[in-house]
Amino acid sequence: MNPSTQGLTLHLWPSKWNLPSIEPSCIVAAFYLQLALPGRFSIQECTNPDLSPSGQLPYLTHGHHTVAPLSSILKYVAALTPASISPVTGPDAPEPGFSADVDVLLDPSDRALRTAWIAHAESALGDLVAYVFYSIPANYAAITHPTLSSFYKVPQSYYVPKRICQAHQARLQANGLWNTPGKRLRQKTPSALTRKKRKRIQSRYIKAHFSASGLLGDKNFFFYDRPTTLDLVLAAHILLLVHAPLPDTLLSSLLSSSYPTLLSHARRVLAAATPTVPVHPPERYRLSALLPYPSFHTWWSEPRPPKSEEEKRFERMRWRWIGLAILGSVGYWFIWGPKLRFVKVENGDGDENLAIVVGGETVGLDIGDEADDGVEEEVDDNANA
Amino acid sequence: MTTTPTTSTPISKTSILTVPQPLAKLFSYFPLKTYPPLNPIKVPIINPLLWIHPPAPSVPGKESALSADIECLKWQAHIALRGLQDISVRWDISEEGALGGRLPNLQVPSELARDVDGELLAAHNIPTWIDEKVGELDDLEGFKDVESRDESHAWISLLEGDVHAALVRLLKKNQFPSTHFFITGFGLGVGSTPTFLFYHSVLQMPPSTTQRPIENILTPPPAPLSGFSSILPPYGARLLPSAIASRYRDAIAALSERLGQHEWFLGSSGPTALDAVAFAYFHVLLHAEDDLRIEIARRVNLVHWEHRVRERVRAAFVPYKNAQ
Repeated sequence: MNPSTQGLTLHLWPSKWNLPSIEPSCIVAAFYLQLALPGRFSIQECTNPDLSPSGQLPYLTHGHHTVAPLSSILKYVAALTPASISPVTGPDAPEPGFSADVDVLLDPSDRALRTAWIAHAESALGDLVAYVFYSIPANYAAITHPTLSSFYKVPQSYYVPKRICQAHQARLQANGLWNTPGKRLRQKTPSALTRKKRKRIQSRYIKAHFSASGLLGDKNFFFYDRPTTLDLVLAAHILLLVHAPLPDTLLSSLLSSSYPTLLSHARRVLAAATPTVPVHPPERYRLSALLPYPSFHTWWSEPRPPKSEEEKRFERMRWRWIGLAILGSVGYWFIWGPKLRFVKVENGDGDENLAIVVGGETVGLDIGDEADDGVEEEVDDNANA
Repeated sequence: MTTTPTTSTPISKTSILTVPQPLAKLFSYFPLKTYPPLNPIKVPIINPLLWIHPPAPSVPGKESALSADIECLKWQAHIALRGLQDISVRWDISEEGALGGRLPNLQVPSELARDVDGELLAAHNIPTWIDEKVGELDDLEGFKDVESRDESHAWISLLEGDVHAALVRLLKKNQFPSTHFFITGFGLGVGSTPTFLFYHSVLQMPPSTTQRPIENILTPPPAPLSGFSSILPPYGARLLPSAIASRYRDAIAALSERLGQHEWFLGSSGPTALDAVAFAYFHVLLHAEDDLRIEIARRVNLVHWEHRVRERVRAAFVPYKNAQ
């Protein structure tokens, strides 16, 4: 661990399948940091996304700063100067002109293009990756769920993977990419399922990828001879689809057969940008992870727009009403509610039991014949329950 | 037809049982009146009629037929930029009355339908209707080459992703803050006013809306407010407004850079689908709150472009005046 307080630490989902992480945005962040600041950061594997300011991994910690989500991380790293990073120690050659911005050589029109293509890739390919990992039942049962469950201990391994799946479900359903259980049951033969899926995947994929491969052409990378952010984003999604050992190999075979340029481009990016930094294992499981404190803390400290007078008055009246209602209930119970008391009752065999007695002052109890003291002790614990 | 208090007559013997005499007398005090049926007056439709969400409230004298809702405006721009003219618009029909519960719908005169009302088309059938009217687009869809056409998909993704997320986030921010606990993930149409929001409470159902909730727009989908790992059931969405705002600024900068001084986006010779979508977003954002509006108002080329296209789109629509 870097003893300097200026250590740059990237928190990601744990690495699997020879990739830095299991999620596209985490992989992009790792690649970007490796290209921008090789050897000057460390990776901390993390399995609790709630610790991040945005609620999702990746997030970056640098001294007192915490940055999330991915777009903010890329901007933050691109703006770093040599003064804010601890120098490289070791037998390295003196460093060249410093720029932590991977896209520094792009002109403004290329930057605009890059922004649009990144949005398109994240949206279309992100949907595809989510569809492949979360929506296809065979993949989810064989790969995604076991992988996610292996990161957690009881009890979180029972519900966290399902929650992550549900977070993706809303978007996939809106885009028509969600396999509902009803559909799965209605499909009669496995071949019908494959054919329908195939057609759907192909149309979706062609819309997303075909345009990107046209832009790539036969160049090594999209803009010049080094990877830029767009290369990283595209490669991250494709590598996930290809490297993960999915039981349903439809998409990876489609990739290798119809879009070999994109596949080789992804492999080139992996070779150029695989992180070579120390990776720290996930932190010990803490019971405080069961509480929603980080999320509510962020939500509470979010800047609110100033309230108008009308809204303030409405809020005051509402709280007054609630206070009056509570006061009224408590007062009613005190004044007119039944009096409850705890009473110790002695049995015939000498056992003492605690009983709740409803009613007025003293209660005379006839316990039985053999009881010579039919007196019970009154223990006035509470007048009310 | 009134029931007469008579004894059972053999003429109308439809059942073995008959109404007893005292009961029949009682019933005679409550006669059944039947009125003739009322047939709705149908106005025959001559011009195509577009059903949209209402336009934003404006100064009298400067009324506009452009909807305040982003989806309706996208379709209006699309229709106008394809070259159609004299389309009527009406906004008195509520959303539940539309096909699939979503506006806009297009009502067109049709010989196939045996109704003077014509045919009602859902939004996704409008392009087919336009193709029938003005002819189909070629493969390039109006762009100058294949690369531009493919690039337009990327720009549309940018608009419908980052820019739309900022719009929806703005609407959520404008909601009454304490209703955040009860109504989350619902956006409202742009046309609603703050006093309408004022009366939201846990006792009232949230209004149905065509706006997509923010969980469907952001990539990757936002985490629940109660956190993934906590024992509370997942609820709400955890958003980082600063991240959404910064992506929005990048998107507008990129759009302004790409437009440059061209007449249409991507240097096309004529308007395309991308121009329609871009115009819809710019128009709504320029009439939105300060944070979003300032970002676009700073880009002079976008403002001039929007102004020019708005005149063209506005000229194609006339408000519907029915004779009823």
